[in-house]
Amino acid sequence: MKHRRKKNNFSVPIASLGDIAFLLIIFFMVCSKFSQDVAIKLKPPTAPGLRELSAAAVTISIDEHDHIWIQDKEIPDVEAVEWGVRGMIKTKQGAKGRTVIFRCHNAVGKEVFEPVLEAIAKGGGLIAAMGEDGNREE
Amino acid sequence: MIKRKRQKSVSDIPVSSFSDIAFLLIIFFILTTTMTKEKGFTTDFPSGQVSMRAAQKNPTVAISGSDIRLNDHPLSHEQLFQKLLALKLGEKQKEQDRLVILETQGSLSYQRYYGIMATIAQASGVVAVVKESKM
Repeated sequence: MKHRRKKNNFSVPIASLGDIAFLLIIFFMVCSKFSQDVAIKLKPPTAPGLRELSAAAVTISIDEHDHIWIQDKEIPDVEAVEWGVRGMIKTKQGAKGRTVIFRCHNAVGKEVFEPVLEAIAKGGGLIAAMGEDGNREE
Repeated sequence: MIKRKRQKSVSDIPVSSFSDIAFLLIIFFILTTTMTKEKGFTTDFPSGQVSMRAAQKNPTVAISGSDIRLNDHPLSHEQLFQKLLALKLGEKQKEQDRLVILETQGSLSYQRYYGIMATIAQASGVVAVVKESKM
């Protein structure tokens, strides 16, 4: 005799899907940072043994066309770097407060990046030079 | 007269599309945010006066093109790292004693400069830059 198997109607419980989705949104909003530097095109230099840099209030970049940027604003000359840094870190305290992240395209020449480094130092900034992990070049 | 009962309108907020909107927002956040932490090294460039005073007793690294010299002795990049490690700069208390003078000559790319600065920082040295000089 053949028994007819009862068909089970399985349905995925989706009632809590919306809640999970909103929790995920909150997670992404809290622990992510919007990239401000999309417009700044640069290839960072490489070196071994680099450490993770903590977040800093000021980011100075030099792109592949030797243009200098403070945060996401292009500045006309290197003189503005010193005053920009001075102004942005004057209310901050401690080493963390005066840290300036320096991002520079790897092919930029000394005559461009050296005055910028000097200006950051003169403005009282502690330079955190950004790069990528790689081998020590000879 | 027959009183007509007004039908009560059920005013529920339509929530069926909530999860779709939420997932769209998630996709937006995933695409527009960066989770990666930036890597690098931190260095405090001392003022020119400090570096001039320190230039007499602190190690001096000179770079010119592909040539690297430590206190006027030519060496490779790896050898430079080993020599700086041997100086045990990390054990020195004063920042002035940890200064490593960096002299550069001629045109130099940031990649080359960064590599040397990273090596000095890795050996717990503090970079003090000296502007263009004769090697």
